[in-house]
Amino acid sequence: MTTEVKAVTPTYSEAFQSGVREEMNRNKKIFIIGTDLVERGGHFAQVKGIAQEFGLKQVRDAPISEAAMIAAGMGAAMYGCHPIVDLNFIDFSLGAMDEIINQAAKIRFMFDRPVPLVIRATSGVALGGAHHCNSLESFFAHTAGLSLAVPSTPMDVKGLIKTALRNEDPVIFLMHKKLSGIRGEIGDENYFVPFGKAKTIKAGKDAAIITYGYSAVTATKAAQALEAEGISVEVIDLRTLYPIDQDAIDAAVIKFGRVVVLDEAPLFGSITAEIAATASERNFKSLKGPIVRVGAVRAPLSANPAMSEAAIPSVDQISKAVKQVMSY
Amino acid sequence: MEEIFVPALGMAMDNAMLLEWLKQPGDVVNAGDVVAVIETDKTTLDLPAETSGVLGKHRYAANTEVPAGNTIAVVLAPGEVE
Amino acid sequence: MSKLDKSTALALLRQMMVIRDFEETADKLCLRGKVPGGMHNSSGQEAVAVGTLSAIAKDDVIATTHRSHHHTLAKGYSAKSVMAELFTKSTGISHGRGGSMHLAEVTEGHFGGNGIVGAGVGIAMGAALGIQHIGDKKIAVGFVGDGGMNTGRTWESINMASIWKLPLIILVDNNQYAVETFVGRVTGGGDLAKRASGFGLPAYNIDGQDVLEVRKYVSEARERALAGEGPTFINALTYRYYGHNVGEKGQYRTQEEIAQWRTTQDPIDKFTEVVISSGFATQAEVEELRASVRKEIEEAVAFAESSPEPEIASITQGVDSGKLGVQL
Repeated sequence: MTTEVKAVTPTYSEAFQSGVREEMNRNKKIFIIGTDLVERGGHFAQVKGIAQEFGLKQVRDAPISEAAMIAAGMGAAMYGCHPIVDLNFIDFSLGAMDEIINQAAKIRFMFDRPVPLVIRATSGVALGGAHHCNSLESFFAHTAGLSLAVPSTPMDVKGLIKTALRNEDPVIFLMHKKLSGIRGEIGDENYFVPFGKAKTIKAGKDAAIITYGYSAVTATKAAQALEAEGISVEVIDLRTLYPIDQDAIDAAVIKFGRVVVLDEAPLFGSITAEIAATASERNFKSLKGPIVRVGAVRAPLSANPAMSEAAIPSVDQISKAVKQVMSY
Repeated sequence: MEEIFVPALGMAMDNAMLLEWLKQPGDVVNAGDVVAVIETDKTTLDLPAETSGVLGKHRYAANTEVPAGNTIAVVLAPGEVE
Repeated sequence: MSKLDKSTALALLRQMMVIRDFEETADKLCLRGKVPGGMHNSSGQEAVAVGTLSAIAKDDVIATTHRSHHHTLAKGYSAKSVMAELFTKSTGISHGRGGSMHLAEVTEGHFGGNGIVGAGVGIAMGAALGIQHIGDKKIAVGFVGDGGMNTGRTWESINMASIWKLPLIILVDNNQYAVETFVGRVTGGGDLAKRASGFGLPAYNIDGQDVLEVRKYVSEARERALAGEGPTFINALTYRYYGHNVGEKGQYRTQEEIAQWRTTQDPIDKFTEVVISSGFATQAEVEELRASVRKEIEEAVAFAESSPEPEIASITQGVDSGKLGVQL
């Protein structure tokens, strides 16, 4: 049964291709800059076939010059194009942080000029060790002027990239390594997912887990396990971290009073802290007890698979956190 | 005896889908013949034989998941048995 | 450098054989899922590593790239400790935390492989500054690939080494392809030595398939560095026989091109001819050498297989000293 579904629906990476193709067909000002895009189609096959279809002017293989790639995309965006700069791994954005945070994010505010730029990268913890598994969401979400998409399904990948490409703001578009091959339905040409709209991916009655990215998968597994123990958990996928769906967060706090916030970034200073603190300030009286955050340990990721896995939240840890909020 | 196996590729791949067997147990295979087609999280991939011989048992059925690194069949040289 | 003697020649040949056998063995094991996160095979590039490392002192510093098994083995680390690190075992050179891409033994002057393109040059440059500051009689070598020739951080570091006359060698392990991108397609001006010489340091394009040529240039550069005359840039032209990462079957270069390099420019074949024609060994003795190498690599695999995994509980250990809060 699952096999049949797998054979027909596109992957998470193909969903990105699909959204980009459709938008490139209608807007010639969209082009892609990055490394290893033309032949390989990107390290996650995220743009496979697009160079062959649209030509080498629309998909440019660049030298490994992250700062220059972002600068190129930003300058062209200011000039009126709508570039996608594909860094392959978000870890490589660190070599271009000035261009992203001091330049691209601030131009509209200072110069009244939009910067329609998408910076796409793969993010999240998988194999690959300390330099390829950073979770940098909070850096970007903290920066005024940047928007941040973190889709967990093919449907949302396509819907969000299409929205980003019809918009005029700089968008950091993070796709999770471990989701690259998952399959699912995607929307048609006219299907757009707005930024700042969370999605309930599993309904529940007793408590809510608010999360995003691959953690939506682990949260759902935990919720299913808890179901067997008679605890009904709602799983809310934020889909974008900025703008963030504060209404959905508020509604969950008011409805359940028992909330877990989950991601796989190191807990200290993560976006989950922002979510929990703001939710507490806004609806403290609705809470039955503290919001519990679940995240990674404060350590670089090890190349060893078991160590790496142990550093990030497990289904069991998430279940425990839910039981903790249920104990209030 | 050559083992034909699902290669471990990439940073997140645990399993591949065995899409199709192109050679049956007992078939003569030549080096370079594609024995099976698998699908990884990135792409579909042909698994060719590197040596010539006779294909052994299918260790996995088509349309099943195979863990990366696992052998799906062997190519037997004359005189070899599985 | 003194004239080549028999024991040196055989040591150079054997070290190149160790690297080749190690890489081809590890590649197969990687396809079987034994190397978490994959690896970058250096087969074909042996002469660059062995020529360089044989010309510097045991306690000189190196810092290197994502493709660094060959540099690490040539620095004298055992195939066992490197193979165990590829398997992310506790007995590995980085205790299983680094994996294939992050081999290091900093206390002994191996400042690490790196997941970030061009980062090794900067780290080696800093080590050279430390050497100069403390007044040690050592040098540092920063390995970088052709891909790292187009990232800003590399040239910032080269400039700094030049103005401060640091005891540094910038060694371009130029295998001509940054993943799938041919160096000529992304390198303005084309001539890397000419580019480097603009920073005011001696710069050479050399044959990276000739272990003696690499050894000679590195040796001379080391003498200059020790004499306080500053850094040298060496661009060693070489070729990798396998894909960027294990399992990659790219269409970005022809099988004929690969075969051409393998059959006419192989560094081990070329040096074997020198060894035999100089009367240092017979063909039969070369085969004996190869057999002893095979045994060493088999033992390395057995060692890696049987070594214990790192302690999971250690994941948060060693992140910082934990002593800053202590009242002094």
